[in-house]
Amino acid sequence: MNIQFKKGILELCVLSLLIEKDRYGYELFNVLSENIAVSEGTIYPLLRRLNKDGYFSTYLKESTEGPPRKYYKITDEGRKAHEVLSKEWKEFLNGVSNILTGGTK
Amino acid sequence: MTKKEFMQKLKDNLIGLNQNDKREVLLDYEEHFMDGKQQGRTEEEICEALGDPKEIAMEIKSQSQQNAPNNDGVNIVANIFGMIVLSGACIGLISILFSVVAAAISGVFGAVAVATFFTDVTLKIAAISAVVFAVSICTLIALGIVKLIPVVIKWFKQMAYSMDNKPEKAKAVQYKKVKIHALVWILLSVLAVASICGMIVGGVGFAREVVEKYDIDDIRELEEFVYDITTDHGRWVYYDEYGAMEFEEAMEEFAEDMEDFADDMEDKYGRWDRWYFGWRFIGD
Repeated sequence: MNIQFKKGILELCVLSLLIEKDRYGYELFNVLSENIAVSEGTIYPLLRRLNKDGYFSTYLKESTEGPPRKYYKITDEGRKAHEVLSKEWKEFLNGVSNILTGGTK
Repeated sequence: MTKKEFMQKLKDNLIGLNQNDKREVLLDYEEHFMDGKQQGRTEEEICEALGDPKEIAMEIKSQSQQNAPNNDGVNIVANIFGMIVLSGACIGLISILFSVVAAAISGVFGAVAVATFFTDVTLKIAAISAVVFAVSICTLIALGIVKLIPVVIKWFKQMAYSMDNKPEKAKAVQYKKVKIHALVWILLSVLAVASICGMIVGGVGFAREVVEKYDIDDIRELEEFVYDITTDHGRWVYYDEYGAMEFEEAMEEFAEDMEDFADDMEDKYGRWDRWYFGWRFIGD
C-alpha cells in the first residue's frame, strides 16, 4: 500500500480515537494495533506531526502506576481536519465498493 | 537490543534537533517502554516492534525541517559573520583587559616608589591613596570587561539566531544577574571615593608643608635668579653685580653664585630641596 495513503488513514484513525476521549500514546497504539496492522515506531512521529499542525494539544496527567503520562486532546482544528478526512475516506470507500460490486456502467 | 541501547541510539541520531524537541521525543519513548512493560512485554520485544531508532529519528527530523523555513545559506553567512565579529570583539576586550591589568601593576609599583620617596606622613597618605585609587579603578574596569565578554557573546548569538529565523532560540538566551558583581562594584566605588579623599588630604598637607617649611625670602631670591637669566632673550645681562662681561664669563660667575646658593639651600632643607631649588632652573 502507498505509504502516504497509509499515513493518511492512520491520521484519520488517530483523530477519530481522540474525538471519543483524551488518550495517551500507548493507549492509542493498543487500540490501533488491535484493529489494523500498524508499525509501532511510526506512531510517535505521526503524533508529533499532528501536534505541530495544531490538530491536538497535550497535557501531563498523573498515573497510578508511575510517572505522569502525556495525554493528547483534540482541538477544533483537529475536528475540522477529521471531518474533511472522514468525508474523503467515505467517498473513497463508496468508490471502491461500487467497483467491487460492479456498480459502474 | 535493550531499552538503554535503543534510547542511546535514538538520542545520538536526534542530533540537530533543538533540546526541547529532543527531550520530548525521548520522554515519549520512555513512556512507551514503561507502558509496554506493564503489559508484560519484554524490552527486546518492544525494541523489535519499534524498529530502527535511526529511522525513527530520521522521520522526526524530516518533519522539523519541513516546518522550519529552509535558510541554510543565511545560517552559514550569519555564523561566519558572527564568528568574525565575535572573535574581533573578544580579542579587543581581552587586550583591553590585559592593558588594564598591566596599568594596575605598574601603578602599584610606581606608587610604592613614590610612597617610599616621601618622608612626610601626609605625603605617604597621598601616595597610598593614589595606589588604592589606581588599583580600584583598574579592577572596576577589568571586572566590567570580564562581565562584558559573555554579554557580547550572547548578543551575537541572539543576532545569529534572529538572522536564522529562530526566535524561540533567541529568546532562550537569557541574561543572568550576578549579585556578587554589584557588591564588588559598590565596595570598589567606596574605596575609590575614600582614596580620592585621601589624595585631597595629602595634597592640602603638601601645600601647607611647602608654605610652612621654606623661608619666603629664599624663594624670592631663587625667583630673582631665574628672572635675571631669562631676560633679554637669553643673553646674560648682569650689569649691576658683574659689570658688562662676555657670555662665557658671566655664565661662569653666575653658575658659581647659583652653586653657593644651592649649597646653602641644601644645608638648610636637605638633598631633595637642592633638586627643587637648584639645578632644575639653570639646566638649559
